[in-house]
Amino acid sequence: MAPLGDQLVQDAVSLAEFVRSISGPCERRGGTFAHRTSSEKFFAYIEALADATQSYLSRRLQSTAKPRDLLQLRREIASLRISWRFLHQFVKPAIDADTLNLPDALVQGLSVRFREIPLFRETDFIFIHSDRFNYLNVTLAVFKRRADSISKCVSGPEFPPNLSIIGIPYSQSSSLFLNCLIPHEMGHYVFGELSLGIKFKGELESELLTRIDPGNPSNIGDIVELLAQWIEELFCDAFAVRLVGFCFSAAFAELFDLARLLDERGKYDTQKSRDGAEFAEYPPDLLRLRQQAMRLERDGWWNELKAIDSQYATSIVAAKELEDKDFVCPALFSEHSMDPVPVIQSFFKILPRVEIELEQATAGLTSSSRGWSAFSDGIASCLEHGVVPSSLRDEAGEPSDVVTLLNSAYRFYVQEMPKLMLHIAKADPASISDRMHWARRVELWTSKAIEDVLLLRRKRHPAA
Amino acid sequence: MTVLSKKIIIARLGLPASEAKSLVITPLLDEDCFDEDSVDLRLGTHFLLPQIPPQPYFDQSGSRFASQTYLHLHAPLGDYFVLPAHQTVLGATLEFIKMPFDLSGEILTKSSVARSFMLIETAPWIHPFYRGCLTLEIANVSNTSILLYPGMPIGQLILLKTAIRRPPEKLAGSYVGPVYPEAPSPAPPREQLLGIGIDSYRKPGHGWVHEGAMRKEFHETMNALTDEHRESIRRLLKLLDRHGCFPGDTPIHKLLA
Repeated sequence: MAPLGDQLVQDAVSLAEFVRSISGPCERRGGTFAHRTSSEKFFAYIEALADATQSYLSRRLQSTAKPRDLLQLRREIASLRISWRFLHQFVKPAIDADTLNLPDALVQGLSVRFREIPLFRETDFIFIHSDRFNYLNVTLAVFKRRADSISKCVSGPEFPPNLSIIGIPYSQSSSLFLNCLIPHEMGHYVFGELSLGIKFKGELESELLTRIDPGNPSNIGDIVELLAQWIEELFCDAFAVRLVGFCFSAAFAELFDLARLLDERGKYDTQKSRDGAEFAEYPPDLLRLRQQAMRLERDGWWNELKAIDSQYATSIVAAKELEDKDFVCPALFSEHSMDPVPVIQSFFKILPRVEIELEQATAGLTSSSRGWSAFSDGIASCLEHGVVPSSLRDEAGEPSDVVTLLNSAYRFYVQEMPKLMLHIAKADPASISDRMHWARRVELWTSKAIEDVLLLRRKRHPAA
Repeated sequence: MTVLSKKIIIARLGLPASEAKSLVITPLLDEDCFDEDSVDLRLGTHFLLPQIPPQPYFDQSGSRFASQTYLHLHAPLGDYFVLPAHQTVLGATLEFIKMPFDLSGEILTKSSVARSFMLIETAPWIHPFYRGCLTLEIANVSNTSILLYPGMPIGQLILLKTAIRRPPEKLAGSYVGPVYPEAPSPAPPREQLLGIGIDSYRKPGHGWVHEGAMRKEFHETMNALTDEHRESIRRLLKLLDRHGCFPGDTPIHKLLA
């Protein structure tokens, strides 16, 4: 076998090659495709970290001679490789998510809206493509721990502050309306940054211990973990509604086909909806929708929502009538040999805290329904006539805003597409291909309007 | 035809978009964009760059003509796009335009742009009631590369009164509402020629196709056969088709359908 020093040179070269294969695409990205500023920061970070890793390996090899130190270096190389392997999974998906393969206008608009929250004025999001159908938030604490372990070892740069990573299904990279689900992932960032998980776990555990006999302590721990996940999901839903209004809930109802659970009167058959309820990391869909409906009412959307003639709006309105007891089903928690009643009671006791935390986290954020009365009908009229709805002004001469555009356009998309198609020669509202074509046009006009109002607002309020 | 003045243009812009006489130009980012008889338009952020095609000519009859012929690129505001000397690219105006039913429009290269030997339009006429961002056929006819910054003023829109008295009942045309440059979607030459009664044409790499005569003789021959023989021939033709013996857009497909 070759001397240990020579083996270490080979190990270091192998790692350096591996690191370069990850950072290489970042270095070659310029020219053809554009990326968001946040992604550019991420690529620059990866490049700098790769350079620092290579320099570190060179330095360490030159300065290490004793066998004991060489063995230590071998362990460091192995550890670095594991951390780089972790980073590997994010780089290509981030490069794939160039501005033509993202709902770029929506992402810009949502980021601007997010930064209206005083606590998060500096935050930005890196978007990556995901091969899973779910949207996902990369847990920043986990990501930073791995990335910063490399930085610490090789004296490289730290992961840029105030950046988070969101994955969107690659198949949804150009749609507008379904991507109204993105604010939920932004909610995960807020939940993590404010350490709300720890807070809620403590509260859940105390509450559970007052109601159930802790015969098996590990069971309590599992249930607390599960319910804390549910709380996080519900917080993120409520956050999304607070940020963008009913278009989030409509996209949610659309994606999960929740209208299938409605009977002919437009009410939920609670027995039928329980059938699918299983022990899972996500709370029941109808519970999620009910909590969103309650948030929508608080944010001033209720009358508008009730007036929308669409199965998605009906799904939301009907969900608000569900009661806590509708979510206690025998199958739930059966894996944990738990009586579901006290568990659910504890959960519902804590649930109002979600709203309190949400109010605190989003203090200073304007209501999502603020621009509705001034602009929604005008936006619908523009879309009906095939016009980008960015030329509208309110009495103060202000253009519309991203949230009002999204909600108004969503209402148009679910309720008024035939009106637009009646103005178009040879367009058949009952034809799937025609409808898809014009729905795509409505998405493009809305996206263009979002870009336009962001420009117009920047021009009017340069300091904002 | 009368060229509209700034005052009338602004009055038309003030009408609701739903009115047939309304004019929409959005976003209007600069109050100085109005001249006495025109409105300045800016360059948008999306481009379609002609690529070296995978076959030795532009085959307009191919179903994937647009995706194989153009590369879609995005240069966000602040970034630039390099247009090499003697090259062309499709761009679009940043502004979305909705024309009134009684006005036509013309887009002209801004003189400052034209003097750097860049042309933005070879099909400058805008029909009444058109709506969309205007696709620009940008050509750099100079001997050096030119940097195109999206957002830069690039054209002037002139509006002209027409004698049209009534708005059309419906919007027509294949280019309704584009917000990015759109690749052409011309009818295949074969169909355009059939429309004027020409049913023979020369196919590149293939030779003359006498479609009308072929159809006639094919049907005559098939009609003379028994059902069983007809079915056998169809099966044979489909076999040949399945193994790629007929080019993609040959009329044989219509006969087999």
